[in-house]
Amino acid sequence: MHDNHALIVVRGLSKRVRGPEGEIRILDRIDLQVFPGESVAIVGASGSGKTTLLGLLAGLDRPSEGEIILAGRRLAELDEEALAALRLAQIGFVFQSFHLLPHLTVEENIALPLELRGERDPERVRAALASVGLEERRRHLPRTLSGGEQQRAAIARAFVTLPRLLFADEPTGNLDRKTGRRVGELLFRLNRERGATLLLVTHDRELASRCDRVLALSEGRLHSEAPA
Amino acid sequence: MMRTLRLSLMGLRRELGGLEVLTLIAALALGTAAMLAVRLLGERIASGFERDAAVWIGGDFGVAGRSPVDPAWGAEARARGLSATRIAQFPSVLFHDESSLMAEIKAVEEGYPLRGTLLVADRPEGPARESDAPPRGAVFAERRLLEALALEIGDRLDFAGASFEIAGVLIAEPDFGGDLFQLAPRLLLRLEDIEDSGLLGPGSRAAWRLMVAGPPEAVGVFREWLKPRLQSHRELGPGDLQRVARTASERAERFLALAAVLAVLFSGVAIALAASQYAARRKDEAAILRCLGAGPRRTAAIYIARLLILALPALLAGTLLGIALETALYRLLGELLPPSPFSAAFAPMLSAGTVALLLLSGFALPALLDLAAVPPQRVLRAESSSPRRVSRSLSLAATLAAFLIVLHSSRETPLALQVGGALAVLLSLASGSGLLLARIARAVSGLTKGPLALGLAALGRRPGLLAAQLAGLSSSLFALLLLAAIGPALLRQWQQALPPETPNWFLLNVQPHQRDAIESALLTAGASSLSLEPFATGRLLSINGRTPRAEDYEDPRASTWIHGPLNLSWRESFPAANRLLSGRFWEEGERRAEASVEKTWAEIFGTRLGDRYRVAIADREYEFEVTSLREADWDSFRVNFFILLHPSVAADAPHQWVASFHLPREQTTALAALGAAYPNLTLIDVEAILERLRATVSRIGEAVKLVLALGLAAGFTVLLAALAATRGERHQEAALLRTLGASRRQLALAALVEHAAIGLIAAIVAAAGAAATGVLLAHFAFSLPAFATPWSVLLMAIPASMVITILAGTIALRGVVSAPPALSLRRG
Ligand SMILES: Nc1ncnc2c1ncn2[C@@H]1O[C@H](COP(=O)(O)OP(=O)(O)O)[C@@H](O)[C@H]1O
Ligand SMILES: [Mg+2]
Repeated sequence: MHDNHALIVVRGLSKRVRGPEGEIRILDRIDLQVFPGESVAIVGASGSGKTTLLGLLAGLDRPSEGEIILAGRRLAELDEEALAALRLAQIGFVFQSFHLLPHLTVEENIALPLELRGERDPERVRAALASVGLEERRRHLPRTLSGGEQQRAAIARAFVTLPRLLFADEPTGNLDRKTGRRVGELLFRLNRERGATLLLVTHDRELASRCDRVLALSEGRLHSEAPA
Repeated sequence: MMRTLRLSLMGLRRELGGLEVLTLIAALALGTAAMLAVRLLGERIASGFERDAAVWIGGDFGVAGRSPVDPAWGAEARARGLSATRIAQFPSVLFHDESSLMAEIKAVEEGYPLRGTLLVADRPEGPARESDAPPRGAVFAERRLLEALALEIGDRLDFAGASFEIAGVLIAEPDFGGDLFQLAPRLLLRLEDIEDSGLLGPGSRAAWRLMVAGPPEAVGVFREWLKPRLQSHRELGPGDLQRVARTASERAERFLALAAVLAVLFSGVAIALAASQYAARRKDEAAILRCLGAGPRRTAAIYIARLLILALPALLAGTLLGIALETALYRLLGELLPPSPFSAAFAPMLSAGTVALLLLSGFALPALLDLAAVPPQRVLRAESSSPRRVSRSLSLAATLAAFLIVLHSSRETPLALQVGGALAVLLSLASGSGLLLARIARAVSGLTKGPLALGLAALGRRPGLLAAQLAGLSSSLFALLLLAAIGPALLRQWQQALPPETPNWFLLNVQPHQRDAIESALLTAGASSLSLEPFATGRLLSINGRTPRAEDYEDPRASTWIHGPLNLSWRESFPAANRLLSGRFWEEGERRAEASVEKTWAEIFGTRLGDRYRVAIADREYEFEVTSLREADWDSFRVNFFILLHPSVAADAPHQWVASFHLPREQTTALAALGAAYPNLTLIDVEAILERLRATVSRIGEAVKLVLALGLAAGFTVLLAALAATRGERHQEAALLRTLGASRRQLALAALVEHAAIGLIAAIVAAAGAAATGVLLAHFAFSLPAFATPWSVLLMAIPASMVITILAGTIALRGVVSAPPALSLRRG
């Protein structure tokens, strides 16, 4: 396949940060292509730079070197406003620590990306609630929900705008095994149904193995792993 | 726009319960209320004067001066179809049986009042009815006057050699006497009845007015007729009256404005702390919004809109509180102010709105704008490092806003700078002592044990916040103590420090042929410290050959002496209670046309030794040279003159005598006999004047205290905000300490120690500051040899302050010490 079909193109990406004992090289000349509809898992030990990579791809952080092209846009050329607009239009997020807004109800949290786009669509919000099985909890505040429920709400929020790209950073990391498996099921099911491209960061091998491709990050370099 | 607004509104209701949001709303409401109240009051006074100017001055046109109004002027006005009345007003002591009272006599002609209505009651408690001027031989008297002299309606009162019937209780006069600080009870009578008594001669202290009312054209023609005839009288107009009102009420307004500024600045500090806290707690939220696709501008707009929405209830509450406070202030100031209705004018609202805007944009906005700059990658890392410090942009904006607020509320830049400077000194002293205390607490906590050590350690851990708390609390306490304890003590001690024989009576209008008889009568009655000074009224013609013009002098008082009558006296020897500054005072036996000028006059007119003055007394002109400058001690209550002549200059000029003497109050009846024998005399009770001054000062003090109470409330919000800012840390600390085995009771005790210590130190700083200010004022402003600091009142601030801080601690930190350790750990 060719570059210009790819949804994400990464060339020579490096990230260095200044630590207390001089510069640390977290990512070292990484190349990567992700194609539409694909699901890619990034695995690696804790502290190997998975989250850093994800943040760079989503335009939340700026690389030290190299270039990232996301949905045909060169991120280096975009300012903060344009990056935010790009995220709003293209990307959904699921985080390890859920990141629901504490003052908003489950329903309001799910409606938030739509509100940011200026769309009011109660039907879609209701459908999203139903798809993660939280209709009963829609008026609850996040802190009254269990971890699994909070993550399901976050997943509903990520999918409600039908993004082309879904970034998930250790979505099951804060959940017990059983709940984690259920949340994983949900993530893959919705991804299949909505046809989004999934970039999943995890150190859960089992979860990773359900992706089309698994990439391993170590010593700042990215290696392909054979699918299990 | 709508999108942003909807996003701002989402979840807003649930935010309202947050302590920092409540503190922000309360502080904003308090600051707005203080400013609004003071501005509304000023507007009420000003607009009352503007709207009812004709009623206030008692006619459509008038002239005023210190010398009698020619009756021919009134006759001329009446001949032109206008209504006219002359009015003379002066203070005098009234006697009845054993009692005496210093009253303000107002003598009017038939036809009074020309504009507005005169209200009189037939019984002290009876209903008021409209009335004309009293008939000849009758008076209307204020109820206070009747009570003091034990008079009843129908009784007779002897005054100015005649006997008057008390015909009614004076409830309200439409026109204002001109002196807003006039508190003496009024006696209203007919000018015709006393005109021939000699009371109103040129040496009396009477203020004269001629008031005219009628069709505008006729008034205009009469005015043109009168203008060239005016010598020592000035035209009265709405503008003129407003100026009179302004200068008088400005004294009160200025103090009130100062107190309001204090309240506003404390609100600002509280708002800044609350906003930083609000922002610190919403960094994650902002990062999530950024991550979900809100750009920096959008994020900023969402939080600004939310701030404005939160400001609405605060502004509403502030407006209501401000209106209530204004009403209370107006009541308190009472008779110091002319009666005027509440005026819901635009200007004060605008002014309060400006202050609210400055508070929000200077003290809250920077913290919220910092939210828009939160790096979105924050969502990826559980960074809990949220610096709770007030950011640099915030402190910069806050300083600027504080200066603008001070500038805005004091109208004049020099005053704003003074006020700003004084506040800066006060606040830095208070916060400096906070930093010092933090150090001491850190040092001492190591030496103590248990809750005491914990509390002191907590105190030492957050020096910045401690400084803010101390600044907010101790400066408002300081201002309150200054007003409640130091001010009254100064006045009392100043009065007590006067020598026992200080003259307590003045006798005006003594005619040359009466002089010797009155002198011996006074000595017989037991008067001491008696001095009799000759006294002539003249007009200033020229200084060094040039006719002086009021506009050439900066000091507005210059105009009074250029246009009005000039009091002159002469004597052989250097006057007591004076100090020679330069030149040489004449010795007995010398004969030269020379004069000695007092410092105040010399400063106003720039007088120097060798200046030549020309004055007219009656129809003769006199010329003399200034050969000495001196400084009078006005506190001596002796009769002092700005210009003292060599006796050879003017001893043959028409003049009278003025006597000052000391006579114990018990012997006042002797004075009644003197008054009956010489009806032309005006007796002035100096103690009554002092008493009136004291009453005025205390009225204004009460009003200022009320505004300062708002300042204290704002200081309380500073405490709350500062404590709330530490809630998160304290949760963690408490959890840690409890895990280490500290009991809930110990932690509660530690918190009590900490808060009580803050209250204690704030009160000590405030009391010490007030005491020091008292000593300085006593020395420099009141020239008291020693000042007995009213410690008992000052020290009452300590328990009060401790109650305040402990209360604030209880409110702000409720639940912190009792939270289970496990929960706290997880939240941390
Ligand atoms: N802003 C930063 N400053 C310093 N070190 C950082 C920063 N961001 C990440 N790191 C370090 O880079 C390494 C990779 O972090 P991260 O991407 O979070 O790894 P992972 O998600 O694989 O656990 C870690 O050692 C982390 O401490
Ligand atoms: Mg990670």
